[in-house]
Order: sequence, then C-alpha cells, then structure tokens
Amino acid sequence: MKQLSLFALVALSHVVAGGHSLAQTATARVEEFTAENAIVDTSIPFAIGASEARQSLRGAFGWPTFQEGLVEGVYFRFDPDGYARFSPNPRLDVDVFEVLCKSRTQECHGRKAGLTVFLTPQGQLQLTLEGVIAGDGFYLSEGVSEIQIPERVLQPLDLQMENLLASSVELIVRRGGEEVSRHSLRGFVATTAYLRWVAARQDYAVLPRGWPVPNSRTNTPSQGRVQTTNWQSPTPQPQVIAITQPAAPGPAGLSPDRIDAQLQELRDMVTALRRPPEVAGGEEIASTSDEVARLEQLLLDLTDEVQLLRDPVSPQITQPVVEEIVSLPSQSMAEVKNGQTTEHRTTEKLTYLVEQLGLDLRTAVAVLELAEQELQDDGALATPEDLYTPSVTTVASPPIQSDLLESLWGEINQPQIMEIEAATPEIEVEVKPSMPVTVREYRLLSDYFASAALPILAPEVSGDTH
Amino acid sequence: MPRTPNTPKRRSPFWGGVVLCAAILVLSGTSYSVGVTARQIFLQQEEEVIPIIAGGALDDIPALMRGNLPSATLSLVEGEALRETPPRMCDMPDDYFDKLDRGLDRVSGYTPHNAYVRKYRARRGFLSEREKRAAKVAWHYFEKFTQENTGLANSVGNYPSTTLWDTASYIAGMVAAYELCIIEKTEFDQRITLLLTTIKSLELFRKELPNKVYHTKTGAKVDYTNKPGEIGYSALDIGRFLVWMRICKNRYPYLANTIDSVLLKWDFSNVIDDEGLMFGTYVDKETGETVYAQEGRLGYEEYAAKGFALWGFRPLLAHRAEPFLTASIFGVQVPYDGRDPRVFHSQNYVVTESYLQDGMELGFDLPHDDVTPDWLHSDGWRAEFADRIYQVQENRWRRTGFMTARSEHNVKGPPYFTYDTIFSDGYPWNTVTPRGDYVPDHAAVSAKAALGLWALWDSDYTDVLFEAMIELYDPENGMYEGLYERGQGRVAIFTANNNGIILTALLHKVQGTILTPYRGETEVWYTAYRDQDIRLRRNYPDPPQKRDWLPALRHSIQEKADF
Repeated sequence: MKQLSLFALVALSHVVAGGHSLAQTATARVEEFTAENAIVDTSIPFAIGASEARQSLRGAFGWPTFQEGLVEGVYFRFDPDGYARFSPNPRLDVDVFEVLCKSRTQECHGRKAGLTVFLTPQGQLQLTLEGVIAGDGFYLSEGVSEIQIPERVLQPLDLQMENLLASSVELIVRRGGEEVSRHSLRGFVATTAYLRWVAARQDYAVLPRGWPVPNSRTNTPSQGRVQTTNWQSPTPQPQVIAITQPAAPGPAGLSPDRIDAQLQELRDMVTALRRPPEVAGGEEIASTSDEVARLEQLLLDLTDEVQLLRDPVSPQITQPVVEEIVSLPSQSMAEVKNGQTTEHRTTEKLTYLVEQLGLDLRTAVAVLELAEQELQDDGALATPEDLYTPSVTTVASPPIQSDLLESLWGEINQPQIMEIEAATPEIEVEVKPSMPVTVREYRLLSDYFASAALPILAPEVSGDTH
Repeated sequence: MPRTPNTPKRRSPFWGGVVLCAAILVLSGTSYSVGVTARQIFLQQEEEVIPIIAGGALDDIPALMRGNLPSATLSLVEGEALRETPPRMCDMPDDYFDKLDRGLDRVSGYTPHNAYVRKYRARRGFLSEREKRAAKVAWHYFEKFTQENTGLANSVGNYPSTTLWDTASYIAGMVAAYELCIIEKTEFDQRITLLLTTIKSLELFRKELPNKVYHTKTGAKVDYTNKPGEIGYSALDIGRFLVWMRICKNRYPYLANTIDSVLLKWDFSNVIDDEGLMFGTYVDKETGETVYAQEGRLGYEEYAAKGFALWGFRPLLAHRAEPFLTASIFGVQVPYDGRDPRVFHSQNYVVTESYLQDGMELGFDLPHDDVTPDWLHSDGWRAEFADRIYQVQENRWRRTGFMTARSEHNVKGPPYFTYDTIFSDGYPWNTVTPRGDYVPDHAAVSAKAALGLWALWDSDYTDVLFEAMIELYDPENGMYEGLYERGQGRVAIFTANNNGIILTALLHKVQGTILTPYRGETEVWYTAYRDQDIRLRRNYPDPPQKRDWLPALRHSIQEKADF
C-alpha cells in the first residue's frame, strides 16, 4: 500500500507538473518551452557518440534542439525540459523507458508500462509497480533463469539490489505462483544513469563505472561548481562509487537540515560562552575567548559546509576518502590556526568525522581537540615520506600509526636515510627526533632473509654488509 | 585518195585537253566570283535588315534599364491568350461551369512539351450548403484569432504567435473568404491592408528577412518560447508567403504597390544562391553567429522555389526533383528526397501538403505559364508525382481499410506537432515528432489533406474523405485538425494552416487554380532602386526573360512491371 500511495503521489506530481498531461491549454503551452523549463543542456553529451541536433520545427513553438545517441545498447533522445526516451529500437517506439521531469526542476522519473523508477531525496533509486499487493513475489530473470528477490525491491534500492536489477532483463511479479505482471528492464541502466545525471546537473561524476563519457569537453563556468576538476578521462575515477552518489547519506545521514540544527546548537554554545566573561577571572576570560574564536571559526566552516551540502552533488562527496583519512593526524595546531589551507582542513576533518564516521558534532569537535592536544604534546609526526613530499595533503600516515610501523618503515629505508644524512643534514635534524634509529640496531630485511635461507652464505653476506 | 577541202581538220587529243582545262577554269572562276558576290550581297542584306533596337531582344541593356522590360511569360512569348480570371462565386452566372473546359476527353500522361495531364480531374462547381458551412466555420477561426492591433492571426488557437507560413495561410483564408462571398471587399481591404502594413514594419532577422516567429499581439520577433528574440528565417516559409503575395498582387492590382513595398524592404542576398538553392538560417548557440543551411526537401522545396520564381528569382536547383529515390508502397513508387538524413541532418518527410498547395495555388504549372488550362500542368513531373502521392493513399485505404490523408499537423498535448508521413526515415506510414520519435498513436486523417485531395482528385475515395471531414468542426473555433486513425476521436486543436488550406480547397472547387495571370506591364518590384546599388546588394532580380524560365522536365513514368 505504501508503494501504491507513493505511486499515486508521483502520478499526482506529474499531473501537477503539467509537462505531459493530456489536458493542455494554449496558456500552458506558452510556458512549456520557456528557458526556465530548460533543465538540461542538450549540447552536453550524455555519452560518447551522442550529438545535439536541431528539431524540424515547422510551427511557432517547440524546443529547438534535442540530443540523441546510443549507450548501453539502448538508443535515446532527450529534450531540454528533460523529457527522454530510451529504447533498444532506433525508432524509440517499443520497449521504451520514458523519462518525465517535474516542471522547472531536476526531479524526474522514468516509466515503462507499470514500472516507475525515481530518485528519492537521498539520491537512492526506488521502484514502484502498478497492481502490486502485499504478499506478491518478485523475481528477476536474465533470460534463462530466475531468482527470487526480497520485497525490499520496492524500498529505496541499495547498491546490491540496484546492480541486480541492472544486470537483469525482466522483473516478474507473481501472486500465489501465478504471474501478475512482467516488466522489461531493458534500458534500466541508461535510464537510471540519466535520472542521476539530470539530478546532478549533468555532472559526469555520478555516472556508473565504465560509462562511455567524452573526455574533451571544456567545462563551462556554470558546470564547474559541480564537476570534479581532475577528471577528464573516459575511465571514471576509481575512487568514486558513482551509483551510491550523489546524495546517498552516510551513516550519520548528514543532511542540510541536520547541519542547520547543529549550527543552531553551536550558536547557542557561543552565546552561552560569551556570557561568563562578565563574571569570570582574567585567565578564564582569556581561555574562553580563545574557545569562542575557535567555535566561531567552526561556525563559519560549517556554514560553508551547509552551502556545499545544499548543492545536489558536493565536491566534498566526490573527494577520495583516502585523502581524508591520511591527512587527519599530520596537522599541527599552529597550522590550523595560521594558514587558510589548514583551516579548511580542519573543516574537512570535522566533515569526515561527522559524515563518514557518524559522530555527532560535539563528539567530533572533542576528537579534534584531543588530536590537537596530542599533537601539541608529541610534536608533529613526520614520516620519512613527508620528507620527500612536503605537501601534507597527498600522503601521510594513518591515524593508528604506531611505533611498530615507524620502525618497519625505518628498516626498509635505512640505507636511503644514511645517504640523505650525508647529503642533507638539515633533514636529518627533523628525522632523528621522531625516528631515533641507527644502522647497528637494525638489519636489512634482505639480509635477514639471506641469513635465514642461506645459512652457509650468512657469514659472507654479513661480512659484505658490515 | 581525193582530198575534200571543206572537211574540217581533225584536232589532236592535246587540243581537246587544253579546251577542257580552259572550260574548267572558266567555270570555276565564274562559280567563285558568283559565290563571293552572293556572300557579300547576303551579308550586306543581313546587316541592313536586322538592326539592334534599344530595349529589343538584341540589345544587351545595362542593369539600370532592365526593370522597364516586361516579364517574359508564355502568353507574351507565344502570343497566346491569358487564362481568364474567374469572378467571385456570387458573381458567377448559373451556367458558369457548364461552359468550363475540363479536358475530360484528354488522355492522361505527358505531352511532347513535358506538360502532364492527370488521371483525375479537379472538382469544379458551386459550393453546396455543407461546403459553404464548412467555409464559414473555417473563416470563423480567423475572425476569432486575428489580433486587432496587428492584423496577424494566431497560428494555433489563442496562442499569440505566428510564422510566415501560417500568415500565408491566413491570407489564403482571406482571399477565399472574399472570393466565396463570405466577406465583402471592405472587410477584405481592411484586413489585408492592416496585415501588410504590419508585415512591412516587422523587425527583420539581422536586417535580412523576417524572423521565423513573431508575436501576434505585439508584432515583435520572438523565439520558439514566444519571448523576444530571434531564431533565423525559413526559406520555405518565405517561399509560401511569396506565392500568396503574387496571388494577391495579380488578383488585386490595387494592392500591388503595397505588396512591392513590403518585399522591397527585404534582403534576398543570402536566401538563394547562384545555383538556385535555397538557404534558411539559424543562430549558432555557442557563437551567436548566423548559420546558413540549405533548406527544403522534395515536395516543399519545389513549392517554395516556385514562390521565389514568381518574383523573378531563378531557383534552378531547388526546383529540380533530383536527388530523389522511390519507395514502393502498395504498388506505387513513392518519390522521396535522396539526401540522407543521417548525413544532412534534415528529415525527408513525404506528406501531401506541399503537393496540394502546388496543385491548388499554382495548378502544377511553371511560374511563367499564364496560358495553359487547369487540366494541363506545365510543371509536368510535379503533377505526376502528386498523382502518385494520391494513389498510394487510396491504395492503402483499399487494401487495409485505413482512411488515409497524411500531412504534418498539430496535436493536442505533447509533442504538439507531428509529421504524419507517407514515408520518412526509411519507413512507410511513419508518424514522427519533430525530433524523430515514432509516435503511431498520433497518426490521423488530416482535415486539410483530406479536403485538398477531395478538391484536386474527383474520385470515389475522396468522396469518402469528404464525408469524414466536412462536418468535423467546432462552430466557435473552426475546423478540427483531423481525425485520429486509431480511434481516439478528433484532433481537438484549431490552426491557421488547417483552416486556411481548407478554405483554399473550397475556393479551388469554385475558381480552379488560385494564381491568376498578371495583367500589368512592369512592376515597382522591378523598377525600384534602379538609381542605387540596393538592388545589387539585396539581390533583387530583373524581370525574368525566356532564358530564365525554369525548365519543363519529366521523369520516368511508373510502368506496370514496377508493381
């Protein structure tokens, strides 16, 4: 029933949108082809080989252009208002997935016969099927065999279920062993990719792995805001799992509304902190002022985050997670306070803690403070690799970096360190405090293996080495 | 042996040879001198007999003076009588059609001069009561949807936008309404004058030719969203508009100066090239520059080309059928444009409309033909191709039961417009949207196509079409666009083009070919700006002479073996 009501809602929104209802009036037509209704730029190819073409308009109104092409075995055409058709037939007449968009929005849904697919506000795909009641069984067929799938196929789809549907040919609904309906899934991948692409304002980053996208397009300023800047290859970024984006929430469900609420909490905290100085002593006033300044800075950062999150696809989301992980512990408190870059990194750390690890904001701030404190106590951790790559954003040690790892690293690189000691004494000064190792304390791993495997040669080897 | 003194002396053979040579020499000399003398005499006579008269055929007059020449038409060159201009329906004597030459005794086929006689004749006669009612209802569309301040009529219902194509349909409706005595001269003059004044004041697309779309309430040039802007011009739309400007000018000489002044504001330098191809324009989305692109495919292209030719242009290539191919459909070799849509990015729709307009408005005649009767079509291959277009639709009806009269038409709701074709994109009976989607549910019997076929082909099949369409109207809004083929009922939308063509069909029944001969001498269109370089810059033509005529051609006729 929930699905049915949802379908009714979709149908209602479709009627309200008026985009393709039969009850058209001349007045509605006036607004049909206005620039405000153009939500898709047909000059941006959806896939390699797609091209923009001019409509053969004889009348006084209509969309002047459209885009057509072939991708994933289906032909497609779409208009600037988002209306699209996907079909295995070049005439786009049979087995058609039709995509309709709510007027002037990127909210679209695809439909084929009784099957409707749309994106939830969280960016997950969801199916609705006409004529389905509780207790019906769902089966996927890939042409030869069938498998039964759980009823949660009608819930927002997870990655596994989505992949399962994408690799199937038909979705069959059975009731008491009898087939109720059979829905073709040809064009499902292309249609869902199109839905995401439109929702993400034609950002290629949301397209699935292996999607044939052109790599030579010059980004317009308007697209730059939502496009990854370092990706210009037909092969998608390996770090990006496109089908879980753009708006799939993390464990903590970091949504703009929630951030707003947390912002409010922070404001309250700031207000509360500003009150005590009137009655507190001198030292307390100084420490509280620092805390207020830091919280205000955090507030500003969080405001930026909210702006980014309000965007359907935030560049933050498309950042490789590895970068976030490795960059956290390699920051010093001084860097955070001084440089603009380090301030931003603090924001990133906070976002990571909240979004990826699911911590609430208070805990995240506390973790950051603790990390800063530890850094102050222990001094900045400088791994040997840091010495060769001064940029702290590229490679760093993981947060659980231990002495054991450091010692292993030192063992592997010992000869190189020796060379550097001779060539660049200023680096040696930085390395020695954190890695107080000497050649005599450690043996090369190769020497160890040589001694273990070839005991006869061991004296020779050790003799050569030492 | 005695010797007789009177006996002549016998000459020697040498003597005979000398005499023979002498005789030959004398004769040769005489012949030569006679020949030379005769040649001198003849040449002398030719120079004296054929002087070059100023403005005459041998006078290669400079451009400055060419405007004074009369346009060379068939009547002028052959010295034959002009076709008669028919009177208005209410002024026709009762026996008008009794004396009409319909060429019923003529066998169909090509004549030695490549003119063509069709298998079916056009319907002729007074309008019946049902037909009059249909004409009044169709005219009511224009009464209701014409803007008072600009005189422009809406293309589709109350949507305040129009094109030159649809404006030509409005003019067609206006002429028909006047000639069928639905309106009187006062109203006709008021409407046409206001309209022409508005058209003259229209802001052109980049100072060349009228933009493709205008807002009917303001007369401002707009884009496809009816917002102020510009999108380019259409050579086909302009061609059809030129046809109706020529019809009005020839029928109503008192409008000639106004019509000429409208056209003399336009710049034709890019719309037609030296080889006679027509070019439309659009605006490049990235650079904003004007892009000129060849426009027109078999059917529409030739019709629009004749519109340009009626004003002295020479669209030689555009008027030719080549390149064309044929598709065998129900035993008929249906001609379609051979330019591959995948290469040229322009669909090759085969629909009835352009053939109907050529037949009803121009009589399938060449632009210079002002002589031949209605049943003889001097642009022979156009009439023969039109016969095929008719026949394939009748054959479909006979073999499948689908009543068929295919044309482009508007539909209610998306996609708003369909090309309901006989053949396009490699498929017969293909109904496609402007972007090429196959939408068979929008297949319909087009009202304008049905009544156009009824007017030009007097057959049992068109009687059926007539019965299906003649009462398909809403008295408040005009004739419906058509009848859905798959039983969804009427195409509940009202357009200027549909109602204008229906009025043209009804007028054709009464008066025959709508274009009448020009009866004046020269025209302002040809004489204006002779003292300036404007004619050169805007590519205004000189009065066409015989050497400028479009050729009368024929193509291979379908044989029985083709079936």
